[in-house]
Amino acid sequence: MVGNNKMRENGKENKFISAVVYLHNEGEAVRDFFDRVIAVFEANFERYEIVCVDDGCTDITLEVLREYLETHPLKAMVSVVHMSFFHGLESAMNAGRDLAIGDFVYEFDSVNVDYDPKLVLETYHRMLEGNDIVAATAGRAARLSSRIFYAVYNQTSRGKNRIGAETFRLVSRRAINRIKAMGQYIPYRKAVYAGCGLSKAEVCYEPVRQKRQHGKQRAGERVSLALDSFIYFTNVLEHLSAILCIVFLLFTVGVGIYIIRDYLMGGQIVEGWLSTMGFLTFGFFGVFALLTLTLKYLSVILNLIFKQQRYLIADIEKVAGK
Amino acid sequence: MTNKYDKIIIGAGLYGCYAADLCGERGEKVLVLEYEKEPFSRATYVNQARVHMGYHYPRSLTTALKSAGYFRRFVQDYGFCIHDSFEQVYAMAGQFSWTNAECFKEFCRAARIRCEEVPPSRFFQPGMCDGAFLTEEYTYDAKLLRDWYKERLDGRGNVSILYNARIEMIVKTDSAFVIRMEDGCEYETGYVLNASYASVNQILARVTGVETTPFPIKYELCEIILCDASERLKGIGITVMDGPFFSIMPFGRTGLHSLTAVTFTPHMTSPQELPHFSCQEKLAEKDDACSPQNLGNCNLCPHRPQTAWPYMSRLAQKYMKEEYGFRYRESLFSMKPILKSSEVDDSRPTAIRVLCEAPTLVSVLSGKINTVYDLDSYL
Repeated sequence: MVGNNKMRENGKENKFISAVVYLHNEGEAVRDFFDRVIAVFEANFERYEIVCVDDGCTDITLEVLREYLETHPLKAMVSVVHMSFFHGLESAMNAGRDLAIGDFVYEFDSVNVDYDPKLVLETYHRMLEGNDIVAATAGRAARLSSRIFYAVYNQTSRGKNRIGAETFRLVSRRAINRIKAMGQYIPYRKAVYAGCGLSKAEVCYEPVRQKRQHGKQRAGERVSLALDSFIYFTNVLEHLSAILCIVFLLFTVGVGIYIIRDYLMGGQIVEGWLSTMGFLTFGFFGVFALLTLTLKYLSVILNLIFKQQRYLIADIEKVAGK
Repeated sequence: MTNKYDKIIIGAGLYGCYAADLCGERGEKVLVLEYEKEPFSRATYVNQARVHMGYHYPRSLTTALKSAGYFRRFVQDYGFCIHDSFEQVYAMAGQFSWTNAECFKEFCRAARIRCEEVPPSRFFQPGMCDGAFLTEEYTYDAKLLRDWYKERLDGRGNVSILYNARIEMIVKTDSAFVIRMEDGCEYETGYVLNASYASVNQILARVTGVETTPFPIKYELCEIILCDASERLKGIGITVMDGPFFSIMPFGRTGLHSLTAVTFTPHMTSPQELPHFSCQEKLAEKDDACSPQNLGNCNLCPHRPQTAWPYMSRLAQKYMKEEYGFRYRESLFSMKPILKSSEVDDSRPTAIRVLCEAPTLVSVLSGKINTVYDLDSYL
């Protein structure tokens, strides 16, 4: 083991690695995560740091973490970002990633380890092969709703990279800089990383243990994130509304032509029909034209809001390290 | 045998030397007691060497205004050791900063200090900083300043400096203080100035006959890294604020840059009024040992911590564009006392306490070099 480390050190794996870990009322699970996954970091990386994101933990998570670090000294520096209040996975992890300083940044969305910890190294090697984003995915998504979401999303998204049920991922500093240069707020990391124009790889694995149910994110939150993602990253809703507008526009124009024809033909017209239909046609034409404009406005506003910082932190604490 | 002095000053850092020089000029008989074998061996040398204009304190306008006032005076008085021909850039980090570009501009206007906006993309990676400003701030060279003071004080017949001084205790008698050294010598004076910075509470603990409440401080063992800067970085100093960020700027006239980071510069902290550190236990009991009662010199200590260079350099590289490169040269360590009251607004007031009058005992504690003039009214 020691010889192994030496070799790597001499071979200069000179990368600085960051591990960003999401914590929200994990209880004892933190210990297991550190014991198994962080142990791989400790054994294989010369220089790394751990950034824990405390997203409004109200249970013993932080005590467990502190106690663990006291009894298990690591060579890494460990810091904790305390979010001001519960932000949810995406925002909180954005804060964690923004604090991380590594060349390569691991994002662990959960401390449940349903994979072989060696997967950490596998993703690392895939990154060295020239991928800027490497995701570890658990075969296929657990829920039917998730599978449908990913299928529709991948069909309609603008980027060439696919997304799926990712357990953790590794992102390069280059990708992070690229995303910052795009100047956008990151509502859904997977989607932004996948769409940043750099190459992405996936490492699939078969879940070793039964994965704990998604207790973390409430159903409502997941649905709203899914809808948001469709709006932000795909054309699907834009297209849908455009198509609807055009259909109705065509319909009104058709009715207009029909009225004019009737009028010119001088056919049997019921009293008042002409004026009623004329009013309706012009009225609806106006409404749909306005709607199209409004949609355009909305997309501009969306882009503006994209650039705002969206999370609030209470404190950054250095809990262990040199 | 007892030697009598008009004033005895403990500590030959900048504050001690300044006071000795000022009093010596008036013809007073002054003795400076210095623990090390040279002046400026600790914090006066081991720090960022920043001559503060006040930019550092956007949360405390009072501190900023005072700094700006003293800045001019310091630059005038000590021009021979000042390095001013570089561009000092202050930038506000995009995330985690307690301030932002707008607030900073506002603040500089209120403090009436230079602040010229430049595009952050000139120095920083995209999106990392939301504002960058060219400012007016200099750096001093501690070694040049030390040599100047040495020569000046040596030239004064009425000022003497005792190096390797080991104070055993300071006793108040009816009209004077008697300082007894470990080697049995005694010095008597009507005025003691305690300018020993990180040792300030340790000196106070050796005083008998006066009610001395220790300063409410915590201790941080700090590392400053000296670097060789690339050509592009040579003429530039960069400070990213206000939060867990870093600073890389010229280190006096040495041609090197100093690198510090808010998160990584402090290696260990001791919250007690006297410094308790785990590294102290590793030192064998000998006469220059380091203990809560007597701080050694961290920079020379065999048990000084491992460098945080991997962290500090990564942090700086995360923000700065690649062309502003730098390479490791060496690390300097020193103990830094921090007044506990200053954490919220980050102000660093100079704390001067008169603990006793006739005979007089004054203690000074300041984290900034150019607020040395605060001493004037107490000497």
